Amino acid sequence: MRQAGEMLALLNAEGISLEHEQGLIFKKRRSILKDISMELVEGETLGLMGVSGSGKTTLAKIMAGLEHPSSGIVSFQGKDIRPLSGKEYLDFRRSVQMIFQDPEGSLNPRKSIEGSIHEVLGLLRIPKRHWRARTSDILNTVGLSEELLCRCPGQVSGGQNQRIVLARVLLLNPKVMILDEPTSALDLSVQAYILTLLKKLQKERGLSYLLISHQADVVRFMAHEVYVLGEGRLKRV
Amino acid sequence: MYPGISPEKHQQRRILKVEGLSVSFPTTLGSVMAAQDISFDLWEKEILALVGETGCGKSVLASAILRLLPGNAVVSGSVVFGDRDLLCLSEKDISRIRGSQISMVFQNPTLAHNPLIRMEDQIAEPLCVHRGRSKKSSRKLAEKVAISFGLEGGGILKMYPFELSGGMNQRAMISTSVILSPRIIIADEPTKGLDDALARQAIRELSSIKEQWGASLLLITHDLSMASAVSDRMAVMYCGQIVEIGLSSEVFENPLHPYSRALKGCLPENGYNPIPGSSPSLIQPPSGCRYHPRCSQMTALCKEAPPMMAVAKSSSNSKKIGMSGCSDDRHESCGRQVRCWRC
Amino acid sequence: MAGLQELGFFNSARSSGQQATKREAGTVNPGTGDAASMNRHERGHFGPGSFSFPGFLGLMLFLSFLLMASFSFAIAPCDPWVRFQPFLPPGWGHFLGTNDLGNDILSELIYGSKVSLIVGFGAALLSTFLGTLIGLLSGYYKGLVDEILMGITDIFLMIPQIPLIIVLAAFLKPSFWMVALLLGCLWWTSTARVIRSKTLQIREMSFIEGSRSMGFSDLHIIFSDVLPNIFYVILPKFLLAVASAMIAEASISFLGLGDASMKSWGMMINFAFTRGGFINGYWWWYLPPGLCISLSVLSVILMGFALEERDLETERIE
Repeated sequence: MRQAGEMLALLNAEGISLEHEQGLIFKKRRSILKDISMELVEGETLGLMGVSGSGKTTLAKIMAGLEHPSSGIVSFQGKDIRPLSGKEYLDFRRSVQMIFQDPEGSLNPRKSIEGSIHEVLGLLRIPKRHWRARTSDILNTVGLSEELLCRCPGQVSGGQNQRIVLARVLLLNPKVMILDEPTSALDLSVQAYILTLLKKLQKERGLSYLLISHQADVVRFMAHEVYVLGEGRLKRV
Repeated sequence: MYPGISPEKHQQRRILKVEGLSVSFPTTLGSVMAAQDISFDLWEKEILALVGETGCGKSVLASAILRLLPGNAVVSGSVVFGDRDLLCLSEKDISRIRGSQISMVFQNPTLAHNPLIRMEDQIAEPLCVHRGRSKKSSRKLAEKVAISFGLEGGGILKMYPFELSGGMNQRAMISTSVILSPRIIIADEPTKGLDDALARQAIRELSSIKEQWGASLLLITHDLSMASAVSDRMAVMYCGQIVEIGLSSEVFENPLHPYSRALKGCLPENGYNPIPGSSPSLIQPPSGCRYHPRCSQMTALCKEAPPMMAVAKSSSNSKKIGMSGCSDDRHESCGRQVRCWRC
Repeated sequence: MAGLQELGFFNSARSSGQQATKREAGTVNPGTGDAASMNRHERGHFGPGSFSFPGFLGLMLFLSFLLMASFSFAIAPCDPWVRFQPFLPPGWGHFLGTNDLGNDILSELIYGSKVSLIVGFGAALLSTFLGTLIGLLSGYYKGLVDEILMGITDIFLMIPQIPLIIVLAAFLKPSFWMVALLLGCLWWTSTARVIRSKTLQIREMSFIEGSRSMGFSDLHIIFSDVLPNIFYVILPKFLLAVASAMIAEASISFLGLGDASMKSWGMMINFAFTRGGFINGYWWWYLPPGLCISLSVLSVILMGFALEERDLETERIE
């Protein structure tokens, strides 16, 4: 099927469907996603649009392996993600990251920014003596100053929160990032900042993005390919 | 994108005069200057947009006008409505004005309604409370108003807020706010949380208020392009101050203040050019011009606070303003004012 | 004092600071010199900030009971088992008089605080621990785990608790440790339900989802992300559990099912009741233990309320 020389898809969805059961006694099956296939290629951005309630976020979670479809396969670097275990699973888990819409809810409100970042460094088993350097390094990447470290998520702005989330995720060195309305809760100037930052990161690190947004402008600015999700089906634009 | 509205061409009167309004909140970290020395006029039947980013104090300003601020707020200045200063009124008098003379459309329409009350009663409630009308007759009027905003059929009015979509809730909220035919409607981010299409519709409905109900609209938003499409005049706020005010078309086409210019550069059609640096805190705002640390054209003068300065009209625009038929009084405030030394 | 502030007894230390700075901040705008520019939004607040007086009172009361329990041997005027002349009314020799056996009532009272506190805290610790654990697990894992754990909770909810305790206390060797254990094992249900619903709410927030997608282990997420965010529910719940356990201990002792070899407030009332203290009007015999029960329960409840109030406060600020 694949032509020679074409880049290998990093994250691949084939025939994804999702159904929900509804009703107390008489169960009605409601289909949310119908036979969806898509491919995320290295260094490219796939834009996904759709009205609210069309199942964009659900599809994103399925692609990130956080939810499971009723049928269909999501594969990462050519391998189905469901039976993955051990090192392979860990590799997938770290390579595919998700960024959420609400910047305030994306960080533990009872943990300082420093704690949130150190938590990830601990997860990566990085020796403690490197933590300081790594922290300031990653904050630099997302354009934040170290003053913020001692604060809690409630004490910094939405844009800064979103950048901290980004910093945490970037520590894991992901290959694919699933961005679920990353800027729709932010101000215009902050939106511009985050989008330009995401573009820059893509260029530097060859990240591939699945960008979900209801703002046509954002998708147009970022994406190489645009799909629209409507009535459970995916249409290419 | 949004229906364009041209400035009114007939004689207009001033209905709200805000002068030197400052609001601060004392905290343990220091006093938060949420608004400083805000002055503007609102004319009859006009839409004035207050544009600014999160935390610039625009919502605080709206609450200060209606005296809805928490008790620890320190307010100075004056808000003259009619011939009375709203900040001097007793609690009883101000609550009579709220809703009937000046009403408010809130963010997040779904949460702003009481989930246990049917839509029709929700819309009719101000009539019962303020005008003392019977439930039946106010329901009738509520229905009329709701229909004029496209809420009809399918027993929508008998439904509860959670059964309606966000857009419908927003329309119901607008109906509630106009039902007493107030003279001023303050809309605080009325499109927040709505889809693009719904937002456009809500804006269309809000702007129709001007014609249909003869009210003035104070539109508070962070969306520069929406504001320019809908409003007659526009004030750009930065860090608790108005930095530029003038006719929307002029401010949008030819922004004079560096911040307005940078904000315009952030628009998608201008390629998402971010503004360097981050928004300053309101506790210790930069001295002098509050924008100077982020400004690309900073000079030594910028370390001192610039006053609002009137801008001489360029020749191309003078004709347009002449046509809008301002009285002398109006003329003065039609003029652009910019808070920048360079202009 | 910092610890007290942490616990919320100085409820809005923040707002008290605000009062101080407010006066300076309320300046008159120089631009408009008329009366209209005067600051009108100052509102009268009482006193030096509004630190929670009931909470403070509760803490002080509680601390004195704690002191009584831990240093009873030093504070008590005499050994509670030593016999003096019986039925002495309150006087100089014995401040609260003596009972039918001639035991000094004040000393009995002081020694009795130990049992009350141990049972109260032991039962509350156990029930809170069980309830939190079960609530967290069933709320976080949902699905089958939730169904099983909540099913067990429902079964425990259906058991008539006080009768069961009475029956068990009657059959097992009555000791206050046993009472604490029984109460703890029976009373975790409501805590579990509250914690579960809170966990369900927290786990839907995106930072949990984010932690999951980063590959943090479930245990790490439960204890480092979920638990700190529901801690403010646990603490007041724990204190209320302490209060009800103390009352339950007193009731059981009063019914004569307690540990007869230990001095406890409930037991004192029981003796007063069964050995004619009530009928003969020896008020110094039954009134002090009753008062002690009420005051100690009150102190714990006051602290619980203060904590709850602080949480409402923080919720409002957020």
